[in-house]
Amino acid sequence: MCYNNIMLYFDNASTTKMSKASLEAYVQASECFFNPSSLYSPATKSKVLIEEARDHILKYLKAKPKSTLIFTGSATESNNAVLNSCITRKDKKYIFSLGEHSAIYETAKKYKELGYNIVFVPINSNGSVNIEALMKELDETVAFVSIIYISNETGAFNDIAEITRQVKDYNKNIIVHTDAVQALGKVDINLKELNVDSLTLSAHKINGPKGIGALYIAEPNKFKPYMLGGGQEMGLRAGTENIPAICAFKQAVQDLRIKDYSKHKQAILDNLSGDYILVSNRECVDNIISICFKGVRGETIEHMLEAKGYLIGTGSACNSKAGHNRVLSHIVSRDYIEGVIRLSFGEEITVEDCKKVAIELSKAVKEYRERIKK
Amino acid sequence: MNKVILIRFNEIHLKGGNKKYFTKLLYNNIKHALKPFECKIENIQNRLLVRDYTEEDEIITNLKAVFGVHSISKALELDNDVELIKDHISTLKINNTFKCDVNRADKSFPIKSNEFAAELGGIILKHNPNAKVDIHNPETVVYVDIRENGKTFVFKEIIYAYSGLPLGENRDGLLLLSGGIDSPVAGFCMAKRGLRQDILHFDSFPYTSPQAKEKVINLAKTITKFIGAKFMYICSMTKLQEEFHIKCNEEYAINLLRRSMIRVANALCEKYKYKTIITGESLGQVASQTIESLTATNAVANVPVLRPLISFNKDEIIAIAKDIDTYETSILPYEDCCTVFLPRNPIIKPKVKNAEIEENKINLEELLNSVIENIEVIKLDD
Repeated sequence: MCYNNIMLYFDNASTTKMSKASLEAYVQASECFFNPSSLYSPATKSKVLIEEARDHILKYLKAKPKSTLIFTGSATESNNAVLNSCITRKDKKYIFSLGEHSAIYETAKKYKELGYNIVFVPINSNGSVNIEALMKELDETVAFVSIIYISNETGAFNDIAEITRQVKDYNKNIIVHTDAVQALGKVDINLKELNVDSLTLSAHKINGPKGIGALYIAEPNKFKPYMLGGGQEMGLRAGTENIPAICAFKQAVQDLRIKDYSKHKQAILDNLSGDYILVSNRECVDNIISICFKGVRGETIEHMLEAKGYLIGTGSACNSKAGHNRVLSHIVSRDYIEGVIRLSFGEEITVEDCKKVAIELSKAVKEYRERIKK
Repeated sequence: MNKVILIRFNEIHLKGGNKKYFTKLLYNNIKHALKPFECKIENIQNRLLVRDYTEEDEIITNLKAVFGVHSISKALELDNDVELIKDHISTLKINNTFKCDVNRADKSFPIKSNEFAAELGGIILKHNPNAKVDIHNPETVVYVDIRENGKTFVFKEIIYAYSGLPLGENRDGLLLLSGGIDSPVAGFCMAKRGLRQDILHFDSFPYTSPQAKEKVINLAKTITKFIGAKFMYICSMTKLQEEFHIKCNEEYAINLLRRSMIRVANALCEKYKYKTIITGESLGQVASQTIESLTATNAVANVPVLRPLISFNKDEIIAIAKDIDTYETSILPYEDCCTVFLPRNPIIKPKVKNAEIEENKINLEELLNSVIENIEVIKLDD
């Protein structure tokens, strides 16, 4: 057992614990092991399970008619697939926010290095995209815009419906993509209103299994197949389907209830002390709080809290290997950047837990400062 | 005709009366390195042979990591019979420039080396219309090694290993391993001179992460095949560092820490009978590696401190780190012990006396005892 249930887990933006229902769905679907592409009748059951899951998720997202959703191995794969499908011409402009998840940012950066016209637009102090700056970049060469729905670092909410409206008003042919991994289950996603061309999802952020993601595509006939082989997933993403994970993903979506975390957030803010910047302001979702303490190292605070039974984050785990927090480095000054702490809530966390972690966090910061004071 | 792997050694030949001891040591070390494989190891005069194996490339990889091995060849073993050798040579396929290199250790063999080489070259030319002799710069060399034990070895390639001396039976050295590039290389260099070592690592949790510790454990596992380590000690220096930071002159922080590290190593040397401490220091690389800094560190050592990289440039160290597969792990971005509490202006020329004055500001003995008591011991796999 690697997870001690006595620990309080405040890093749900990184990943979540798989729910019992999702796990049961996984195990049950494992019984139906037949290859959905086979022609005998038991295999058709496998096929039905996949289509039921696809339909359920599309319905949940209020998807447009004729759109589809393909199952992928991860949200990173979904994001990569979109960029690799859309970035094709060097005479076109491709726009991204500086707050994109590394799955998009690093791919875009690679294309920039290859000589494509990639533009990163600045973000506001809470991590949301600066819409004015974004609109200024629009010209007749723009082919693609990608804006993260909810920032994985700060919880900042980007008004994707409004962004899409403005972008499409300028030129309806511009493709708009959004990474909605942190939005699923936190805000009501209505694809008809969002009007995006593609959207990325992940199961493991909503108490589903790891190793399964999804990509919504509004107009599948315009999307370039990116994995060739047996023609699975409407020919767009070949490879034998991961039926247990797909069914568990469906179950996790089925169990989604948008929960109000405002009291949780308030409990944190009411009990926090010390010199810090609250990056996640009122315009951010309530389940992610990013705080930067002055003059401390977030990683050390994380270890100190762990010793007290609280598992907290220091920012996106996808960034931790890179050694610095790319997104926050655009927002906070150098004095604060090392002291970044990210708390993200899940089903099991109570308001009382939030109060406790804020008190312990403040104590740890104080203790750190005392330990190293000169 | 058998397929064999031929192992040569060089420095052992110079060992006079101790040659037997070193050959036995090398034999045992090779036996240990080839433990995962089914094969037989045979001692013939001035050579070792591996026979009856299937995993040829894997065996060669492991042999290359055994110090004392000079070179390795995949060979065919024949009897010392002129006609048999000629028959085999006539089957070789050679389509470029070549030469034959005959070594006649068996003086009873009827044809002299040069004559036999010329004769064999003629056979190759006869059977390979595209082959051409080039004595000075051939693309292929056909080696024919005629040994005293009545066997001849024919091979085309010599794979060089690290040479040096076989690792001793006892783990006499204690390697101070950080997460950086240098210390694994230092351990490798001393192992090349036959020094078997265990490992001591210092961490500063919670100022350093479990990933940093995991990284060093991985480094330890990577170099174990070279240095023969059995145990890794992990010592948390957090309390000491905090005390130095709060109560002592900041300029001396690194020097005080390094002196404490040597004291911890002293204690392990005394307890487990290590005879020397090995570090990855290189003169002038950083402030803690000046002659004065090394003097201040040496002043507390109870056993010799060996610094094999003392004259190495960074790029030379990196080249070895890449060769022994530690480089990619070493450059992972997790901080190790030395980078926490780093003073803005570390002293470049510390004085032993001043270091002692600083140490007297805290209860050093008590703190050292406490960190030594809490040392974690990890058993490394053979």
